[in-house]
Amino acid sequence: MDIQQFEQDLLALQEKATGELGAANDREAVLQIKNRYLGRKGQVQSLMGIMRELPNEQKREAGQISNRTKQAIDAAFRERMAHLKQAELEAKLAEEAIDVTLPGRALPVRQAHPITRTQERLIEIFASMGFEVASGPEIEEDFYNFEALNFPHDHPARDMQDTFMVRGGNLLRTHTSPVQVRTMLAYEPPIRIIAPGRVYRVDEDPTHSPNFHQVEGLLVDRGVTFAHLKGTLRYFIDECFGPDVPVRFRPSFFPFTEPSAEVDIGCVFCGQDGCSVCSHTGWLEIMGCGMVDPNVLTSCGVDPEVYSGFAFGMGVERIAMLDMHIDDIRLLFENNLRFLSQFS
Amino acid sequence: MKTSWNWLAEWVDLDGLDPNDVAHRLTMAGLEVEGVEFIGYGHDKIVVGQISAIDAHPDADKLVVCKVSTGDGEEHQIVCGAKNMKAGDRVPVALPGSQPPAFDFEIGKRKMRGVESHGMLCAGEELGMDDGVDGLLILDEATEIGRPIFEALGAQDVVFEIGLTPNRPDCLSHRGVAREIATLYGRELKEHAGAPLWESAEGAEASTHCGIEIVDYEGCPRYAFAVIEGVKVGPSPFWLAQRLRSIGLRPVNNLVDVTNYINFDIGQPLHAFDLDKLQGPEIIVRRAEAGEEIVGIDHATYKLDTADLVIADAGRPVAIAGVMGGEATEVTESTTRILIECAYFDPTSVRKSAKRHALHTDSSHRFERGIDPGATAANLARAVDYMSRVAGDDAKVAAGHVLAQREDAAPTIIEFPVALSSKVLGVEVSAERSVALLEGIGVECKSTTADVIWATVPTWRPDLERPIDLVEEIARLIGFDEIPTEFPSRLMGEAHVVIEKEGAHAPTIVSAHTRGQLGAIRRLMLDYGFHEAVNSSFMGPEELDALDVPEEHALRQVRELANPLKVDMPFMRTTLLTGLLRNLVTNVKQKQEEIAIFEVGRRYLSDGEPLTLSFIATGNAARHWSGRREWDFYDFKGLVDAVVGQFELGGATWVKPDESVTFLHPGVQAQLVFDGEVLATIGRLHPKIEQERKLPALLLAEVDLARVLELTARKPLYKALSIYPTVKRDFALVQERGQAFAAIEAQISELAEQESWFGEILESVEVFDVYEGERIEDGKRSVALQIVLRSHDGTLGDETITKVTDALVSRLEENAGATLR
Repeated sequence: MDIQQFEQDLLALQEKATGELGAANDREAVLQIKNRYLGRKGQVQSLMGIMRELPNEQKREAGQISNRTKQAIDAAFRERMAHLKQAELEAKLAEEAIDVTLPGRALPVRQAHPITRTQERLIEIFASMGFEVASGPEIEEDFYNFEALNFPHDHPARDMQDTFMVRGGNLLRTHTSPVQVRTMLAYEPPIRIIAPGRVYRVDEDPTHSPNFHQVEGLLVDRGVTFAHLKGTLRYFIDECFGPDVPVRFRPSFFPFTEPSAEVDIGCVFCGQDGCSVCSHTGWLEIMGCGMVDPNVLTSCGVDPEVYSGFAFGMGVERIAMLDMHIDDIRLLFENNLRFLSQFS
Repeated sequence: MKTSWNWLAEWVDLDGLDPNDVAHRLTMAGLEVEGVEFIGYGHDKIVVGQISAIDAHPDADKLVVCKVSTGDGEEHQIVCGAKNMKAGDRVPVALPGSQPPAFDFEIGKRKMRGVESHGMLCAGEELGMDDGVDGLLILDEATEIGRPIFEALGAQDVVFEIGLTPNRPDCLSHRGVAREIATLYGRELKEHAGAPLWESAEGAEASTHCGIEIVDYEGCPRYAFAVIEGVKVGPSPFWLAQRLRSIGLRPVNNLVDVTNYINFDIGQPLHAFDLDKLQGPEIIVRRAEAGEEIVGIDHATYKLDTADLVIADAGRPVAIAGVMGGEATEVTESTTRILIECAYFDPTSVRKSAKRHALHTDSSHRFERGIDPGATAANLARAVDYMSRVAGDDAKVAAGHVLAQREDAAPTIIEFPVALSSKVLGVEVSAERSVALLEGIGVECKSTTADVIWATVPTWRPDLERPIDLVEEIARLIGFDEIPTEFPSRLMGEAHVVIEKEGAHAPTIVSAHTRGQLGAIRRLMLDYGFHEAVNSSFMGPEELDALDVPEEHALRQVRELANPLKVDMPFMRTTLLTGLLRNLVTNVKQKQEEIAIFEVGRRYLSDGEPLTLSFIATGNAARHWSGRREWDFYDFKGLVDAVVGQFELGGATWVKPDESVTFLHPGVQAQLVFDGEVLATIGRLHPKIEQERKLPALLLAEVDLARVLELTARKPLYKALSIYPTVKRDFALVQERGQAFAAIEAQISELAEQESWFGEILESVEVFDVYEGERIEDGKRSVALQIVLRSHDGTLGDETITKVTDALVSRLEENAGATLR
């Protein structure tokens, strides 16, 4: 045996081993093959016994040769093991694959009721102008709902608001305006509030509900004018309906403001061409407003010689209906899920 | 109020004005024109024709065949069913292609029983002029043939529907609206005041026919009348009937029609009495006496109140002043002598009577709002003038008239500081311009100094009493467009400092913090899958009955409406659940099976209106093709815990109520109690109610949100994070089936409180399984707990863990009857 023979034998063994490793299909078999060649009693080891027969000067070279073989077989082993591991992983992944096109688990995220949502939006706009939110009772005294607001007893102005009476003497407030009175009685001017809330009138048809909601506003300070009222409401309308919508202030009458006005916006449905929603006028009435009547200020302990103010009020349902194209107010109180779901 | 263009033209020159523009200007001056209706326009093919011949129809007894000429050179053959015409009569002819106002189809050429008919001869009714005649509208002989009929009749008109605000009684008449138009267009209001007819009349004075005594000047400051004899009651002339028809009134007879006409012409309600039916020498204006009654011209009997102002004769009340006349003295066909009442009654008195008797009449409507107190005699003169024109050839006005009053109506004089306009409006209006504007509406102005105007208000404007009232007039007359648009800059962008006044007035302002908490609670419910409902504040006794609410229960301590819109819903709600149950029924009817809704709203109790959160749910809480899960009690418990979770609630406990909530399942209900108060009640609807009302299994919750929002908001504080690992130990405890888990829970927290070495390391306790069945003794159940321990001082050793286990097990065994499995 010379060193050439030794090298050839080892190479042959190496070739055989890598071949077997390459053909093995599970990790157990690969391990066995490796042990068969590289183990303590493996074929490489037994061949190494021959090294003793080589001349001493060749033993060093033979050692290098056999190490190369061992390394090659070991590399083949590692490679095969890695390959099999990868294949196993791929098989597992393939098995775990799901039908991603099936529907997801829907999160039942809802949106607030159109009335609440609209009310919150109105509050937000006025809050951004620095208005505080105020509230008061719905079962109200005549004084706050009418008398302090310059509605004399037995005056036709009271017919404008058909009133629910509560047994025992009180009434259901017909507007959120009593909150103006309560606020002026409770705080020193300057006062800047909005009062969202539920109000009541004896009335029921597709555009009127006996329960409905208003947002009332009141600003009292020194030197407040109608021009300020116009500015405040113009800002509100820009925010609420968009900056390009036409606005007009039209003289009207409320006992608690003077001068009084109705605020109309250009019909958002027909762009003022005329349609059934605006009764072919091109205008939609959205709110009432005016300068707080001096009698009201006096009733509320505010000196009209020093202070002046403006007030405004709007129906939340009306704005919600315009905004969301709802044509029957009763839908808002029926709470039919098919209706409510449209806003989710 | 309907207002006719033609009628307005009697008071102001409308030449060259466009009705749509007038409508716009009126609207922008505060008289809201809600509708503009063009009458008789676009009917050019309905023309005046003359019947030249009438022949029998060969095949129909009830029809005739007319030959009609309409001035176009043709002879039109028209088949007609009317009987009241003769050859030579002029009648309205609807030619083919026309559509009379009362028709919803076009007239065409067609055969009627085999005879060609080229159009239709019209009755008044078919033209929208109900003249009460059975048959064709026979026109005056002088009517021009071929002219469009509405033109020929002068019946083309434009009618405004004006939505008047209650402060403008002066515009409840054509003269009033015409006055506004005159002002807006700078035209003159026409005056019709000639000498009253009674001045030139001869013979007996009106006062000899009847006297007057006003007992109650407060109710009736002014009462006038005139007398006309020899009247003949009959149909009104065409022009008068047409005037009334144009504003939607039905002509009755000449005398009644004149009173209505004057009412809408100048806003003066009148009443005509049959003088021969009035008893005694005089008319007395007084309050009704106890027990008096009157039968109105509507034939209804009214029991009078001693506060009702009445017109009485010697024997009885003959009219409720300003509201309605009586049947007994009503003008009838046999009437020949009339007394025309023209008075000014106190608005409040009339309003109270009208309300008391539920009689809202055109007359009371005007008196309530305040007619012109300074025009009584002039108005009577105009009434007499018109009455005499239509009451027949023999009508004779008695000499003079009777006017009872203490004094003339005094005009209001206002000291008006010119600068007030700019102070209120934010735009400068000069003294000259103010004077011009005010004089335009009849206010007489005098200036003593440059900055003050002394304004004398005409008596027809009772709404103008104070300087601010004049500012309003100036504002509407210059137009709101002239007022600039400015921000209240003094406040904009400044922090709003809220300063409470001294005194006992309750605060109204809701803090942003509270609103935020409320918003978070609402959002929580929405995110949990609940739809938000908004329900009526009303509820009915039957709804409480359906929930088996006992008689004396707090839910029955209701505030009740005196005038509910629906008689079965007279209560203010004391719970939000009745509304949510209505919603449930609505949705169940719609075949909805998964219903989860909540409402945040007020309940109305004897001592306040607490904000409340209620929610109900039925069906699946979660649904997916992979599986589903139904709502259960523990969802609701968890939700309430989450809702109150942002608040300090140390010591709050869930308990089974001592006394069951009647409408909840006795075994599936609980209340969250804090400080002796019930914060929330949850449970399943009583199966009996579910069955009776055919409802699906249902969970309900009601939370006293007002009370919750008053609690201190929870403010979490940082605690150092331990660097040592946790130890988790599971315990399967067996307890009697009827025993509450709360007993175990209480013992663990008590132990943690009493034994600080344990309390300090106890991180959490969690129930992870509750089990009954195999391998568990009958009548018992197993509750599996995981206890998590962690120390700040070091890793927990076996010794400590054993100590915990021993202490827990022995304590639970002794005090909670729970043994380790």
